[in-house]
Amino acid sequence: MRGDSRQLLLTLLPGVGVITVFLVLPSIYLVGMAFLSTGPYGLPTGPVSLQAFRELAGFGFLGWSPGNLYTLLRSIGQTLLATILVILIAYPAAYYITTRPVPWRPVLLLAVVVPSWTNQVIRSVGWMNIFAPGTPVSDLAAALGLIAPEMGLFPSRFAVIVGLVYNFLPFMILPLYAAFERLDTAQVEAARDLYATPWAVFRHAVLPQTLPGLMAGTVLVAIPAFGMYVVTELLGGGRSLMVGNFVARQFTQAGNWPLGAAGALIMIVVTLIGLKVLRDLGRRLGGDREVVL
Amino acid sequence: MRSSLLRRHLAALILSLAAAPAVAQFEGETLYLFNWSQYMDPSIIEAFEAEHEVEVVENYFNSNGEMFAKLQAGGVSQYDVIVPSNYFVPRLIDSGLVQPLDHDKLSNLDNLLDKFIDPAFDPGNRYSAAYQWGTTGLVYDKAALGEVPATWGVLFDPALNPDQPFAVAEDSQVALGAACAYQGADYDCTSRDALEAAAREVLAAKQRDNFAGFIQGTPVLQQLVRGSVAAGMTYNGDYLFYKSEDPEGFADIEYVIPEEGAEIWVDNMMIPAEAPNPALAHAFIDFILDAEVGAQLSNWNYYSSPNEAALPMLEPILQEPPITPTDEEMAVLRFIPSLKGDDLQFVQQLWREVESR
Repeated sequence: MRGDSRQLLLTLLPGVGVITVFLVLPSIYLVGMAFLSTGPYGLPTGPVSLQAFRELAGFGFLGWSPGNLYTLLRSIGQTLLATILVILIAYPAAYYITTRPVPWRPVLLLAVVVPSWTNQVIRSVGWMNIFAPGTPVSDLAAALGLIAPEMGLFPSRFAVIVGLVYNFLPFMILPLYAAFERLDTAQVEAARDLYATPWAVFRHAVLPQTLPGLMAGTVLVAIPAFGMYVVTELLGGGRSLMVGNFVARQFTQAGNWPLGAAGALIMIVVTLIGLKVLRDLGRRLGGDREVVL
Repeated sequence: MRSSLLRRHLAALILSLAAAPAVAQFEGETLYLFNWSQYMDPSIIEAFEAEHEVEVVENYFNSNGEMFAKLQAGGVSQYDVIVPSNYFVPRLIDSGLVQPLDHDKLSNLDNLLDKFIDPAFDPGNRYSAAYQWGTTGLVYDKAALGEVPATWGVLFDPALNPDQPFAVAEDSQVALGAACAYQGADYDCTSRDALEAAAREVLAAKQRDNFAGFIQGTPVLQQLVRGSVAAGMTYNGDYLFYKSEDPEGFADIEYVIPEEGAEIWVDNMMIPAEAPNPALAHAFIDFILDAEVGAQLSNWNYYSSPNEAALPMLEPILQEPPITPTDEEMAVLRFIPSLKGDDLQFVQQLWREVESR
């Protein structure tokens, strides 16, 4: 017995070590920094203060402003929209792949995954070229009266959403595909035999079975999308600033490290709240089963 | 042309031969250079490596803020030479991130033009020696906008540009400076009222339908060629560099110093406080300050040389606008002020407001 527990300890050690060095210690550092004052050039300095949080809440030299609140709400809004679109595209796509003959499935899955082997920056620059003014897509949008003829689809909020959806699609398709693979078709057939409407078949036979995949995909998509930096930076044209960009700015261009740390802290808190909401949602949809975490 | 080239090479050869006995001092050592990208002629690096039998490792940054953050996060002991812009020099000195230069090791320091010796941002050149200088002005596409006057109104006045996409600089002080100048204050305005009014000007520009984003000086040139913006802010040297690479694409793209005033800047070589090899760093700075090398550098990256001894060797295209501004232009060019404390935070809060809406 004692030998067993020693072995357990030994096997746990590397994992615990990695988590301590790369997660726990930096987080403590970050939290500490958020509660320091800002030095003459934006670096953290003593004494301990709530200055960064006051600034984050919008209080500044010119009184209160909702600017940072806009950034937070915009981040949440863009994340929600992108995640919903990803789900709407990924559900049929994953289903379609499962219904193909067995030899075809790995090929199709590979086709979904391969683009994500390329760097995010390069793929975003690709969208810049596709959406620039004078390209067929932009000309079509202009002909339909959606945009002014001189302006392209890039830069815009539309381009940001496309970039987000495109970036995170594989992370939703893969878990959903795994869920569809294990789908018990007998339940679906039974529902049909009992004259269930297509919606009822989906709601009561398909959704509960694929829910774990859907929830896993949502976590994999929504959390990184909420912290997204590259896509908004490159495709947004300065109109789609998200929390991730805000935090990055405070450590580089703007130079206000405590404010950046406070922003990162809020980001973590909002992410945890999001996970909680998702968990409750999963429980309600899944009939009191734990489907998230 | 050819004979002068030959003479230059001969001179370089003689120089390197003459310098040969002194070299063994650094043999096998490594110099870590932290510089802007596209800013150093690779053959200068090779010449330095050959002369001292050392290796040079180059790392790049895209903004002063990024460079400052990297130094603060441990870079202070990783790089031997950094190249910050004028308004970041006092920040680096005050933060204790750089070390004083040993003028005894910089025999070529006297080559600098008078205006770059003893600059206001570093009295007595205690910490810095000029690398290259240039201007940040207005760049626009004549084919899209037609003939427009040399004014920041091309960006800020909807009447001058009602529908073509335009970009504003990404750096807060550069963008606010242009707005200050447009409103009749100087480019280097520091009063809070003027800055607040400037921020409102930029915000108004941002809220127009044809605003295409805050884009840095180098990428904006690529977007101008591609046609995704028709006006923006860029650096004179990058403009000329890309124009000479692609004369056709740049046929209609113009660079001007707006009559209201614009930015003049100088990038400077400095040595981080805990540089691994300060002796080699001094040798490198002195090498760049050499007249021949200084001329070669400007002839490669198309920026103005602060090196008086190098001026006669510059290519003719560098001795006229936009690289050498006219006297009238020089009169309205201003250095960006170095800010600290509340003044710096004030500008940054204003800029956060502009960015977040």
